[in-house]
Amino acid sequence: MAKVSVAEQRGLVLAHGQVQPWISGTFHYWRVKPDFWAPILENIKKMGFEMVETYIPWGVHEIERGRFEFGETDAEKNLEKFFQLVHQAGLKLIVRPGPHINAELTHFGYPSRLMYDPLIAATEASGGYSVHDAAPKAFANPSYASQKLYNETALWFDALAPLLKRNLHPQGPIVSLQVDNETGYFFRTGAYLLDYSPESIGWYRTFLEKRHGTLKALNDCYGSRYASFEGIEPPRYFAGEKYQDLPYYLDWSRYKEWQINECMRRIAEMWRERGITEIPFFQNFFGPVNSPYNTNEAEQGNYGLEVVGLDDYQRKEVFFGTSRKSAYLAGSSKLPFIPEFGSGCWSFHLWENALNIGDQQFTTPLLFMYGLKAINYYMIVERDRWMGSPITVDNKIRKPYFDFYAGWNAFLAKTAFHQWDPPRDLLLLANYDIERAIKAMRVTEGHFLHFLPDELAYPDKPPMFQYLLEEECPRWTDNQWRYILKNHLPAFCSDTIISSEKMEGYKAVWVPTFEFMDQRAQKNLRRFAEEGGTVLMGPLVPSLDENLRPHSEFKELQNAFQANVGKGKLVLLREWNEKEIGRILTEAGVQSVAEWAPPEILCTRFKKDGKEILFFANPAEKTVSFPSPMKKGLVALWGAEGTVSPGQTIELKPWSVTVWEVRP
Amino acid sequence: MIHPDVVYEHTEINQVRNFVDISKIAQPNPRTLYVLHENGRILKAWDSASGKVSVPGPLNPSFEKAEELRLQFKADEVQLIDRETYQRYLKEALNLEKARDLTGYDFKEWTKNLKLTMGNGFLIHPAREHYDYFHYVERTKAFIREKLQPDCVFLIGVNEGRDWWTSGVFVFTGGLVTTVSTFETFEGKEGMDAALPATHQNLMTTAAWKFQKTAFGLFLSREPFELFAKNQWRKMGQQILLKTAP
Repeated sequence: MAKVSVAEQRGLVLAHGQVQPWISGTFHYWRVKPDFWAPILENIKKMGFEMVETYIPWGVHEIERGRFEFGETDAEKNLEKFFQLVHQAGLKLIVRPGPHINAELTHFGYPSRLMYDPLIAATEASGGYSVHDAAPKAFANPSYASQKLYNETALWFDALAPLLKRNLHPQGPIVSLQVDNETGYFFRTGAYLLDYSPESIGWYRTFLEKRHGTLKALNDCYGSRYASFEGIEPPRYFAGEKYQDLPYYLDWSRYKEWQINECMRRIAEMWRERGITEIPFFQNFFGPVNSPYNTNEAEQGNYGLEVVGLDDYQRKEVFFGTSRKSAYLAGSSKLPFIPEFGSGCWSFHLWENALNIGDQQFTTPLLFMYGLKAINYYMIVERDRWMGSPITVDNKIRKPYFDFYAGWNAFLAKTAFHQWDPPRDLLLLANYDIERAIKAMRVTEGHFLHFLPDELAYPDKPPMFQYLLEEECPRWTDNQWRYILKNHLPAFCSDTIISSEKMEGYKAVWVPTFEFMDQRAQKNLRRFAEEGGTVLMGPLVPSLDENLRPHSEFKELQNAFQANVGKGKLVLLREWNEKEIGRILTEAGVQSVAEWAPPEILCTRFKKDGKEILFFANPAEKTVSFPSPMKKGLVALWGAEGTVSPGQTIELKPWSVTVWEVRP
Repeated sequence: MIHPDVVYEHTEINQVRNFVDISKIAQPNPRTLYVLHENGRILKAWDSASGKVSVPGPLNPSFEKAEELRLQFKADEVQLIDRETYQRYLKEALNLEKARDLTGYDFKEWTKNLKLTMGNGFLIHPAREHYDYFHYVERTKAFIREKLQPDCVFLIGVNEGRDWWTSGVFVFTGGLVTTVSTFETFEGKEGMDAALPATHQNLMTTAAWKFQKTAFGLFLSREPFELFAKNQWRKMGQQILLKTAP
């Protein structure tokens, strides 16, 4: 039995059974003079943090191949000393030992000796090595299929594991470990960019064999005549002419999804083999939620990961995406968690999102407002190549930032916010099959070395499907979330990879559907309806499965807009019609948390033990005022002061989030 | 021009944010007509301003054809991209030895120059000075070579009233930038009137002493700085620099 585990929707369960809310911040010990470590930890505590997080950089601790420095001569690398100080301070520690860490280091934390090795480098569709054109120094992105990389990583893990093991909770501060970092092709998200290295192609063929079982089954699926799995070459761009050609291309995308998870599984297994067995492992995808990334599969599959979160670095103006990301995690993950949330920004590439206090004051509460339960602020201590954190590299305080985190953490602690839950009325599902296909149907890919507009990738030719999927599917998905926001509906998001267990408890599920959908996803939706829920779909009824073969679990809808199945119903929405959507959702029992609130503001509601709190956010430059028609008064908990009696005006300042307790 | 081990410390984020936002204005952002083709068979044509467009095919790519399309579609730039040639470009550019041997910016510049030598199969008309955010590599290098010294510290201060709107401190070692900061790195100088020449000279002296290198300085107010940005920083390097020995 692990000494630390994950409490669903709450946090970590520690050795003595208490639940620790996961609110942490990042501090890179090796980039700060050791004399500052203890006083900085004290300042971190003063902000109300009970957990800190750090990378452990392989490339920094390695002196030469197989030899490592942990403070014997260089005090800044004295990892055990750092662990001890964290423990003495009464803080818990999250470690992220790689092998990949990025950390804005020149070689992303890998030893530089590995970064130009053809046996480690990933290969792109063009046949070139996957060179990462970073400003100080370009290097090759490693291949997740490189056995040499795993062999070299083993040397690092061998050296580090004993040190970690003797500092695990409760003897030491370590309560969780991240497996690798942002595993996902180093920001190259296109289906046909990488990895085409010989070892990766070997993995691809192994994957095809696992997926199809026999060559005959594969040939039946593709309509092909391959004589062996070894004879199958991966696609390097989409050249299909009809929809029956798609399975071959979709399998390449599926392989890439699997490759990420298989890489994480191997690394997790390497830690377990070295005795790190008593703490949960987690992973962070860098942001996107479509192929090759999937939180549901990474958590549900047998990959050794307890929690899979999504990183986020955005200015407040993109609140639409930030709120949806939070709702996605709340609908998908065991513990809705952002492992890296921008507290400041890297100064490295003069990136366009230099986040400042105005962004953090708005976006941080916004995340919690839409269901986030766990967060790691990256970074709360500045260092080389990072700016805008509450504590500087020499332990000075940036007061507005420091005060904000201290105040927000106090709010979370005082309310025990991790114990509050929003109503789960509605679940929005992104159609993962369609989104995978959209990426697989590209005839070319833009590249870091040469920008190409996305639209160029979809050629002019007779359409395979009724709609241009690359236009129609995102339109429906975006419209759905826009509809949720303006109507203040209690909704979470996920995608069609979700398990049927995670769909339990909702009143309705709404998913954009087109000609094809995974059989398992179809069955899950049907089961949800049969057990009493409402499934809203459209504009088309799926009539094909994931291999584009005839299959539909929704035959009742082929000639009707609505059908009762079991205790619930299936409803088809052929066109976007908000009046009709409103009627269907109301009938399903989905209720606005504040139908009286203006559509331009955001509003969510949480409950605990019969008590209620309301979040209001104003995502615009103008103040918004409106009367409270509630029969009960409101008491300000965050972002405002005083009380609002029934009929009194609520005033929301520009770019503000306020939290109110509803008087009993 | 950036050392692989460059250190960025004591950077004040609001000043950097101002610089980042103004740098977006400095992007040329041309209206571009992209034509993706396969050995002349047109796959898709896309105008960055108006979206999908129709270009009659088959295409016989040449500079003359690119110019004809540029005028026809009122574009600033035309890119005629044969898919195979584009892949050949990527294969050549994704070169492990070049990545290992060149500095990061030299690698960027090398890949840029390579893309302009791919013939009619990957034709960009007219050629741009750069294709990447913030990176006017050749001009920046010329400025460093002609106006600074291989070992020096360069200050840039842009004031709005008596406050710094943006600032930068760039320490050069052997011709490469080894440290980047804003004026936050100069402790005890907060609150000085950013508009005053005396403040500028004070910072110059402090920088020369702190880094034990000759300091060069460029100080101006926000309005002319924004004008330079709108002109893609052209002629800004011709400003007279302050110079202070350590």
